[in-house]
Amino acid sequence: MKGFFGGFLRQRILWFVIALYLWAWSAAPQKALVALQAGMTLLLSVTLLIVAVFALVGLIQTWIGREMIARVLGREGGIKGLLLAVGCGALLIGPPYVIFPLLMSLRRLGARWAVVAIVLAAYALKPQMMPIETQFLGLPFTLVRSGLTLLLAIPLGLVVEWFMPEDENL
Amino acid sequence: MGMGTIGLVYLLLVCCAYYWAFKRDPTRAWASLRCGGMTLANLLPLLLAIFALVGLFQEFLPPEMIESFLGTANKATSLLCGGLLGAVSIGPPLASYPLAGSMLTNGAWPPAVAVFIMSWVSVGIVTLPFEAQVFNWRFALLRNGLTLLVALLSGLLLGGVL
Repeated sequence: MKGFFGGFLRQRILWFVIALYLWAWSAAPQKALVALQAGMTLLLSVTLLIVAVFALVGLIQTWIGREMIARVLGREGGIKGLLLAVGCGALLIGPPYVIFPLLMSLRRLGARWAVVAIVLAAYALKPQMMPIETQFLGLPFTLVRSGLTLLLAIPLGLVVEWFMPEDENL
Repeated sequence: MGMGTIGLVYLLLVCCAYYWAFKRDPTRAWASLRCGGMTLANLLPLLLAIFALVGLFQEFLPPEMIESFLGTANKATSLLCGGLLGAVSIGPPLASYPLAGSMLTNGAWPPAVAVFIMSWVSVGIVTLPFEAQVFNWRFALLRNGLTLLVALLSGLLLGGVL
């Protein structure tokens, strides 16, 4: 719980949001209440997912060795590591921000920046949801959009990595 | 498939992993649980703030307004609007399809809609502080900026192909 309250005080964004709500509440109290309710309902709907992801973060941090991560997802992993990142991004489901901590724990264990960026870029690729996308947007649109996302994910990740400093404190 | 179901499936899989972990080495498995719990407790205030912010966006930015920005009247503007709207909104890819579909049927330009979907999923202005805290500011800004550029480029390419 110490982490929770410590974090509470350190969060500038939290205070910013509270200020926004005060403003919204003074402008339209009813709407502000509905907004808060909508936000919390959304949070509640992903609670299970968040709990599962953080449990996984714990597992990865204590069970998977640095050498293995570095070998598969680090620079030594080469193109295979990058392709694996595309696959992971495409197959994982849920909002992308829930996996930020997971990706950072991989990064701390030796995964390269390109892998982190590629997983997040390939997140827009959802083979298992293509039937739904097709239903709303049509097959040509879906195929072309998915194809472009697939093609551009790896170059994007490499460019992001290229701009990141080589040596840093983790 | 709702978010609750997806969460349940994830949780079930992770429980299986923990079952295996507890069988192999209970002390280490406990350490994993503690480690995950601490990480979550640290980020919980931020998560609360983010979701409260999403609620504000939903309530104060109606979808009709979104649709009116994405027409074919000015293609450059609607492309950019698609990217920015996707960037300020937030959610699982699945949730963007119905929204994008309603934009298309309301006369939005398809490339702008494609940009919207890609930046909805991969670019997050609201989650930027969260991303910066988890990774760092340099990575968060670089990744989001470049992803937005790539999304715009893909939208244009899509317009050329279709």
